[in-house]
Amino acid sequence: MQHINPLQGTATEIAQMVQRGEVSADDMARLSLAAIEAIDPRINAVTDITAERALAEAEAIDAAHARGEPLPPLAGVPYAVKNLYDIEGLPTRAGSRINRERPAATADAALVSRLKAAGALLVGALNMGEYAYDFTGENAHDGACRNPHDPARMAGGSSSGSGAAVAAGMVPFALASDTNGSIRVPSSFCGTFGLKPTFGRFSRAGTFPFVASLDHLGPLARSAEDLALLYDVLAGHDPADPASARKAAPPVTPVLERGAEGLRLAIAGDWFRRNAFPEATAAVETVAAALGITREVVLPEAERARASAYVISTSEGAALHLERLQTRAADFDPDTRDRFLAGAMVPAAWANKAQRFRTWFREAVKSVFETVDVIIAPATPCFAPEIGQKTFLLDGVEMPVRPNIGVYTQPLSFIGLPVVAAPLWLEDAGLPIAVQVIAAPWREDLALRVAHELERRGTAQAPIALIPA
Amino acid sequence: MTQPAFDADTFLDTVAPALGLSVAPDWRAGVCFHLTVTARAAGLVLDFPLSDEIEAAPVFEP
Repeated sequence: MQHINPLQGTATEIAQMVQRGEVSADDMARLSLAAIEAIDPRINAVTDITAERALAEAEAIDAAHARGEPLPPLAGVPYAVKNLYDIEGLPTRAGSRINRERPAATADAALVSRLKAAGALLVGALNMGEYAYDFTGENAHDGACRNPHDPARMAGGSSSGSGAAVAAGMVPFALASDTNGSIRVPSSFCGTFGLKPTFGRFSRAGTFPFVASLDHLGPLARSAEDLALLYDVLAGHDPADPASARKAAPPVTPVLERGAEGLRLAIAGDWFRRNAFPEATAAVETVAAALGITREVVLPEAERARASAYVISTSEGAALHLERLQTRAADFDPDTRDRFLAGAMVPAAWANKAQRFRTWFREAVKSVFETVDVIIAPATPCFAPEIGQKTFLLDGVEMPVRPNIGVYTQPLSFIGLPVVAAPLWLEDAGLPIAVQVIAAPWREDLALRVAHELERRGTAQAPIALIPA
Repeated sequence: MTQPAFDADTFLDTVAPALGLSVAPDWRAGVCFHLTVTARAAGLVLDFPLSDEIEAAPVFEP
């Protein structure tokens, strides 16, 4: 597709334009920095701007191009990262006040290094919920990140800035993290594609942890094709991450065009059909109709899986901060402080049983994948709520918003399944909502193929927001 | 077995000092709320029978 402003292209399109010499890497860095300056005061997605670095990286790309050297796959593509990724020269704040007193990082996070080697241009760090314990995108220290499609609404968390910066067109892609849904929730609320890969697939080295036994990293972008390209650049073993898997990761881009052909598809039933607002149900039904899915499968005990992820997250997440909770509890965001304080007191037997249940659930779900390749489920129970909204009605019961936005995402990350969030615009809807495209462990290729199929059919799409002045 | 009733206030008053945690009066209701929610979630997990042979899957490999 041709764009008047090349920054409105996808990462794949921008990389091709730079390769062909239609734009320079310097052009792309300056366009992205200008977009941040113009748009971000209304969205609050960006917490640090790394202009000098982006321009230096662009200069190196343009110099290599001028010498006739082959360019790497993401040459000249601007991007930004959630501020829990180490960026050389910046303290890694992880959405907190306390961490910004840390010394500046002396090296980039592993994935940032991989993107640098692939020619991408880092323009900044992005807003997030404190210590990633969040689904809303609200942050007492840096201010709430706003949804570009309706700035009165939540961007979703905890990777709020990643969803908002991509949806607002400041960058074509961003890196984020997902422990219980923190890539998939902002993808749903902001209308971006998002990839939470299999647990262990992408190195987490050089990022600030939330719950080490459940933390994943991944990208958000405006097309499934971009997610595949990024997957091909980012996947691979890294001994610096103890959870990094020694698994072959064949490139997905070459098989993307196969789409859903020959795949056994099903809708997730039971837990994933409960608690839904009409828009979440409609999103799944729209995908089912587009792909001709008539089958439903049940992931047994998904509610208990979600409860287990909840207990592990609060316990392990809080244990990491015990000393900070003992000495500096007042410096936490009030919305995470109460949860961390409660989590620090969770008995070990509760968390241990939840970890053992993880093994049981993994085996139960493995059996389900013997007869199905890809499963569709809602990503969030509803469209983005308004910023500041504290409760909503789930199946007629008033529930707190903050912990319950992740009802559908938590059971899946709990056992590390690869999931692509694919955003839909339902008829007459002013906001996007995503579905989760779920595959068996290590089969990111299948989830990305189906997401690409939905995009090709026009069922899923990630338009740039028109932001009111 | 069915889990015993969970009293967040009593739990908080007992465990927080033992862990060196100070819970300001303004924070108390929020912390008790989250303790109660977590206890409810834990109850679901604890009530599920697992054989003794099912182990957690720690990542650490010596």
